[in-house]
Amino acid sequence: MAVSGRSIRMEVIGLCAGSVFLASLLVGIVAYELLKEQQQLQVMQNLHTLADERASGIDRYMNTQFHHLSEISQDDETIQALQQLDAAFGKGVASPAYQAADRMFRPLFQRILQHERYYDMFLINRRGDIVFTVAHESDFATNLKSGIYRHTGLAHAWQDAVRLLSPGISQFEFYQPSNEAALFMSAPMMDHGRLIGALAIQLDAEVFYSVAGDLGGLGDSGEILLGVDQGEDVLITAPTRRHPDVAFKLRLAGDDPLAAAIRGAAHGSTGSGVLQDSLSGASVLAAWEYLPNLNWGLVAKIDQAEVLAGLDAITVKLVVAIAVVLLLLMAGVAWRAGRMVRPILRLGEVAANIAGRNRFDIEAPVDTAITEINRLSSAFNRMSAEILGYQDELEEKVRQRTAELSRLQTAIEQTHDIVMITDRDAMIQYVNPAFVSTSGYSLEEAVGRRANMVKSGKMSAEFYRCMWDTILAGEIWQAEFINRNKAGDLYEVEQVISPIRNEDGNITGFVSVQRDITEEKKQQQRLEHTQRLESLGVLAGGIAHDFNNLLTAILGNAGLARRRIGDASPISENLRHIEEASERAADLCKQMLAYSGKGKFVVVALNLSDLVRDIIKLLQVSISKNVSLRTDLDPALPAIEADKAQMQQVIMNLVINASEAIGAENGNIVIHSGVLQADASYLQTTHIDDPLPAGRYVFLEVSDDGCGMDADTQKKLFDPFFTTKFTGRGLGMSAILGIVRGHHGAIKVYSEPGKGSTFKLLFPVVDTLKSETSPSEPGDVAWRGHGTVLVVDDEEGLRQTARLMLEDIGFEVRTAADGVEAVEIFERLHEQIDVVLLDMTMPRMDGKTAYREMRRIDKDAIVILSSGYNEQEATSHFAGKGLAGFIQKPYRLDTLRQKFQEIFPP
Amino acid sequence: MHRFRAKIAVRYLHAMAALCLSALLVHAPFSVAADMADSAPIRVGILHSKTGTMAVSEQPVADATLLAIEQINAQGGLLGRRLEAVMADGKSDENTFALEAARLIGEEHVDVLFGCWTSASRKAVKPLVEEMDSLLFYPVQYEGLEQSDHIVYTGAVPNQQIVPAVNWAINHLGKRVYLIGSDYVFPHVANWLIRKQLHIMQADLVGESYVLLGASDFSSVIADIRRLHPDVIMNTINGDSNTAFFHALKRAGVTADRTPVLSFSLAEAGMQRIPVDEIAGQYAAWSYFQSLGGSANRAFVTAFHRRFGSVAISDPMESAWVGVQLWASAVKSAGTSDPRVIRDTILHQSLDAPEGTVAVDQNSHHLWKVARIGRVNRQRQFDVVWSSGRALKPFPYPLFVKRDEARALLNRLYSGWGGQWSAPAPATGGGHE
Repeated sequence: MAVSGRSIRMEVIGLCAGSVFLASLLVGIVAYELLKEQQQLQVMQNLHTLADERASGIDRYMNTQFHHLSEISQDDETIQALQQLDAAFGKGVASPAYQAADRMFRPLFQRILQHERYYDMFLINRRGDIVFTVAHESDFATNLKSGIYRHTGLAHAWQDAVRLLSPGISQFEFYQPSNEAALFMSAPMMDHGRLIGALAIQLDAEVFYSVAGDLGGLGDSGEILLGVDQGEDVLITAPTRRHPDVAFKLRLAGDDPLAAAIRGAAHGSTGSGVLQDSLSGASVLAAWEYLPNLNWGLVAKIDQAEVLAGLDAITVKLVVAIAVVLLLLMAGVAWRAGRMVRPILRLGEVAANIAGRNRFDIEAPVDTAITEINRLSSAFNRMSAEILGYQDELEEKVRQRTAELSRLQTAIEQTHDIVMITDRDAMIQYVNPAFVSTSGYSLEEAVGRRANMVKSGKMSAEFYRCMWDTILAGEIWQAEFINRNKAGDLYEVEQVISPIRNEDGNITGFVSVQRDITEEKKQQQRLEHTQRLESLGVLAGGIAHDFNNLLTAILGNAGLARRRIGDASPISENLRHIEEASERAADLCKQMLAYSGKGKFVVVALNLSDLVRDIIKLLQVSISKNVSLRTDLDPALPAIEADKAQMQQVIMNLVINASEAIGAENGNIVIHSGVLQADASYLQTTHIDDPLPAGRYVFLEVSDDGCGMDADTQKKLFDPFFTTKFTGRGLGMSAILGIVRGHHGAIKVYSEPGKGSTFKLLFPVVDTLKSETSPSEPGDVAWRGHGTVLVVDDEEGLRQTARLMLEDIGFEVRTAADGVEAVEIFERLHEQIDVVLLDMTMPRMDGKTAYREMRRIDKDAIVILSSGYNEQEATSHFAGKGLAGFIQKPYRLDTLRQKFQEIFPP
Repeated sequence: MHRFRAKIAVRYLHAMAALCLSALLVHAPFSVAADMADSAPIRVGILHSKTGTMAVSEQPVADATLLAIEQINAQGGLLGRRLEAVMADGKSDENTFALEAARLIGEEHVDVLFGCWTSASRKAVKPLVEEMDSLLFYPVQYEGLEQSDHIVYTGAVPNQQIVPAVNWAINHLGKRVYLIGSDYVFPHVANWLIRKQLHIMQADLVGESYVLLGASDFSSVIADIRRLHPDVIMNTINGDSNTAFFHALKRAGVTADRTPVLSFSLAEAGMQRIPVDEIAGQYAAWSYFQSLGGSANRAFVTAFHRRFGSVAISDPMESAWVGVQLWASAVKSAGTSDPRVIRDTILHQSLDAPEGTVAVDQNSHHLWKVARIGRVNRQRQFDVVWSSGRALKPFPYPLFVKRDEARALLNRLYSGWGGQWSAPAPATGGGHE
């Protein structure tokens, strides 16, 4: 980024330069003004002193002249000269007497004149006659009272002298006889207290000017100006330095500043000031003073330019010095500012490093000479350290959040639950893979479309309205939905829709979490089905058990009765019918037990192909004549473990059902067997709820081309008491399912209305082939046993029947009504009891507990278990406990005898 | 950023202000220090008679002195300091004058004395100011024959008053002259000089008499005058004796038109007590008259009247005022009020005074002054009848007297009066103190 603006260094330099320049300027101006004032004051004082000195000089000069004049005037020789010359003068100046006197005294006065540098000397008598002059100008011998020169300075001086009896002085003014300005002094002359005349001197103007015009101390431009006030104007009375010929010629107007000064001075006002010199046009410093002797003003002046010239020189030097100091200062400031700025630049670099390269490890220096910068750097370092800390913390947080988000995303993407995020208008913004897999729509297809893309139409408009009311009110809506996937299939979800709110609390969208409950629902249905079967099985089993007990009593008694009355008796035939009916009743019980999956009694290794071949004739007679039965059997079919009778029953039922499905039409039934490799998924499509292991399965198919079944019929096919026949009991198919389940097999149904059905039975292949045990032959009816048998049964009738039958065989019988009694008897008589015939289910103490007690009393006790349940069911509780045998209720006398015969071999 | 700039600007201004201040202080300390050191007022002594026969003459002079001091103070004082007047009463007695002068200089530490009227008092004070190295401004015309580095004489000396007046009187009033004066040093010396001048001018002295200061009995004098019939009476009576003298003259019928009196010590102030008929037409010689024209005099008279009421203003009053102004000018010029310095500086001073231009004569420490003769009008003011025109150089020692001659005269008078400068009052007379 381009950075504009001036640098601190330039700012500091500028500031310093400006300050120093301004300060210098200010101080310079003030100093200049002060110096100027001081200088002018000094010069003024000097001028004053000078004016004083000049005035004093002139005064001294005049006083000296006064003094000399007084002395000369009182000198006897002078008095004598006046008296003699005056006397001679009376005789005429041309007279020899005067000439003699003149010759006599002239040298004296000439000597004095030369010595005192007078212009002329006069001797004047009391009457005013000038009786003697040295110069002998035209004034000689004139009368000062009445002569032509009576108004001259000489006359005035003489008059003052004689009138005041003191030395008098004239004005310095033009004197015609000398043709130049002249100043006269006169002193009275007395002889013995009598006035005899006066002595007068004419001062030499040149000498006077030299005294008055002394320029010492006035520099190059200084001047002394002498002048006299003449009312209208001021007359300059002495030559000036620049104008040597102005004396008594130059007049300054009254309003001229110099004239004003001279006039003021001439009136006794001393003073000084800065004036405009009208003569030179320059500005001058001037001091003025009164000259009482001359009644003049004296002005000592000097050009201001000269006065200030020294100052100007100083000023130039000062400016140069200031410039040099300024330059040095600037250099110093620049150097110093550089040093000051360097840490700031360094700070800038550090900042740039932080900003540009995220480098926090460079520290700003805190040991510079500048406290503020150190403080700034220190704060900056702290700041950068804190930023670093914050950044690390932030990064850590971001990492954590990212990880969290990633986990959440993973969770969302991995979950089987569908997650859908929409905006407020239900436009899809996000769907997870579960949605894709469930709905069949890809992410790209879903995003941007409305969520009702999966609407199945199975829910009412009221349902959706209610949903929208709820979620738009900001509440959570939870319900089960039936949706339709891309393929058109329905699926069920349990859906929770939660509103998403922004920071202001406004709803910006919705998140929907849907759990696919299609399978769960099926599972639940299956479970319910199984539970129904279970409960029916328990009911059927219970009924069959009790029936078996009853049938045992009926069969036993009928058999005993028939044996006792012999075959010859007509009753014997009745008894035989009873026995047959009882047998059929026992079969029914078996079917009921088979349905409950507990009727597998005799399990052998069985070849289904062989079985079908064995019963094919029986099958053919059982079906309608218009139905053709064919077989397609695998000759090398592996064996399965199965109850042969039950298998027979299953095949028979299926074929008869197929025949009935064909009805009166011509049709075909095909029985097909084989082996297939079934995996779990295949097995899941069967009508068995219990999980079956994958593996080799023997299958037997019964196919017909009859009326077939609709889906509804198929669903209820295996429900007990469901029948399509008017006369059916509705136990056929459920018994088949029970038998198949009892054999750990599966059943699969393919059916289409009008096209026929196929029932496919699957049984696991048995690896170790057990040979089919042939049913034991009925025992020797003539066998007789001996010993004592303890019959334990809670059924009184059955106890009695068993006692009768065993006593018939030859045993002594003792009975016990329950386990407790049985154990008590056995403990007391176990030496005598050879065999215990023990019922399984009894009140107070069941057969299992009683058996354990009896084995505790006598570990070699021989116990035969008797139960209305099948052997496997019953003996499973006694595994490895040394049961001597099992007798299925209801049992006949023959069965009983045969069992005992097995236990007591000959 | 802006705050930063603002801070810099403020600092900058502070710095500049400090610079300006220090620049000003470079100049300031001198004047301030000077002010601090010398802020005390400059004390000046005013020594005049507030009591006794001279009080009536001297009090107005003291007032004029005070006026000048007040005017200077009103303009800011001198050298930044106020003037503080310390008044002392000479009680018309030369000894008291001496004592008070000593007290003012020694105890009151005044830098200058303005005072004295009579030559007797001046001569009593003179040795003290000389001994104590102080400075006296003496405001009254006197007989001359005296000069001191420690006294500035702002009154006229004989060649500025008596000599031209006598000359004028002889030429205009007549050559027969009668001299009357108070019996103390000034009239004696003045008359001594006049006698000499009369001799020089070949005029006649018809009579000469003296009365004690404060005397009111002029019967013998009047009788003398009536007997002698002088052309002119030259009067050097001082103090309120003049009233009695002119009253006596009037009563005796000696009138101004026939026998005019030319006074040398009677001015406007003293005249105000004399009835106009007794004084009108008489003459007096002074450098200053209240009636003089000129702006300087008008301002002076106005100021005085404003301050002290419409009283008459006379020559000694003006001289006293001029003395203070010249001293002030010298102090300004010298930058100090130290009398040892002012003694020299005063020699260069001049002033456009109410009486005209005056200047201190370097030789004599007297003033260049104009000589004037006035005639009393009906307003008891003077009409100038003669003027020297220009200021006259003071010659305290006239050329027509020898210095040793003058010294001998003074010694004689001093010793004749028993070691003082005025005649002692007779045991029976009760004149003045």
